[in-house]
Amino acid sequence: MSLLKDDDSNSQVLKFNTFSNIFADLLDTIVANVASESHRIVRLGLDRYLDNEDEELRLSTEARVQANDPRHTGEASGKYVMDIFGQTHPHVATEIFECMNCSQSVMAGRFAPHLEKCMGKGRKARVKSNNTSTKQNGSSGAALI
Amino acid sequence: MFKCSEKERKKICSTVLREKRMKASVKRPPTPDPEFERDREPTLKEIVNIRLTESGERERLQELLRERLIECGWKDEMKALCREFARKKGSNNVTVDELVAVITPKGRASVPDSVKAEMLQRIQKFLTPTAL
Repeated sequence: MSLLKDDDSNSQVLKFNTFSNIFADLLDTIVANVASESHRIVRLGLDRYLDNEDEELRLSTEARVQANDPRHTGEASGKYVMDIFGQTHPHVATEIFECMNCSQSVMAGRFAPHLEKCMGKGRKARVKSNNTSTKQNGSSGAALI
Repeated sequence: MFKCSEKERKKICSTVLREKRMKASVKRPPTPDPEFERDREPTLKEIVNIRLTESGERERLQELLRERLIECGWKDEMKALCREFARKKGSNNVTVDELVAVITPKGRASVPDSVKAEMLQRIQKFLTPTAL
């Protein structure tokens, strides 16, 4: 620190060293944190694929095969479509019940066309007279509509 | 002068033995003896450290550095290194000190220059107005 010229550069170097030391200290703390975290994961066995190098590869190829499988593509393709619970529903609703108009047993999926004919509302309707109808007058039902 | 009775001496000895017997996954340097430390002048480094810590700036710098290192993927690289090391060594034989020894050289070298420059600048900005 005797010569004026050297003094300036010396103090610069001193400053830089001090800052670098501080940075190194901060970095060491962070390194210790990361090491501690990884150590915990390894020792607690939280890393599922640590010991099986092949399992991850196997699972990813399995997933790829499943994705390409035509079974699971789209929502309306194919006869049997799986919903998120893994259930499959038939294309046409199959529950059978009794028509409230004509008292016939009818399938739910065919109920609308049945009603068209039954109530005389649709294009191909024929006027039918009903004896036992309670909801509407038999012949005048068609005339109303 | 520090005198201890026979009873106290035995107690201290048994504690030391017990600690040695416990399996240590973390090894630390022994506590410094207060007798030798009392008369020393604080060094420049210590003054700086105290100033940093007391003002809370050290915590802020720490958090900033942590954030930057996560953003640039440095932390993920280090964790991957740890995984590799643990895989080769077998998960039951790994200690924290070993992982630190594995990460430290690579970690210091792979900090991005921009991050390092930013941190040094901030440190300088904080410390320069106060006489250094």
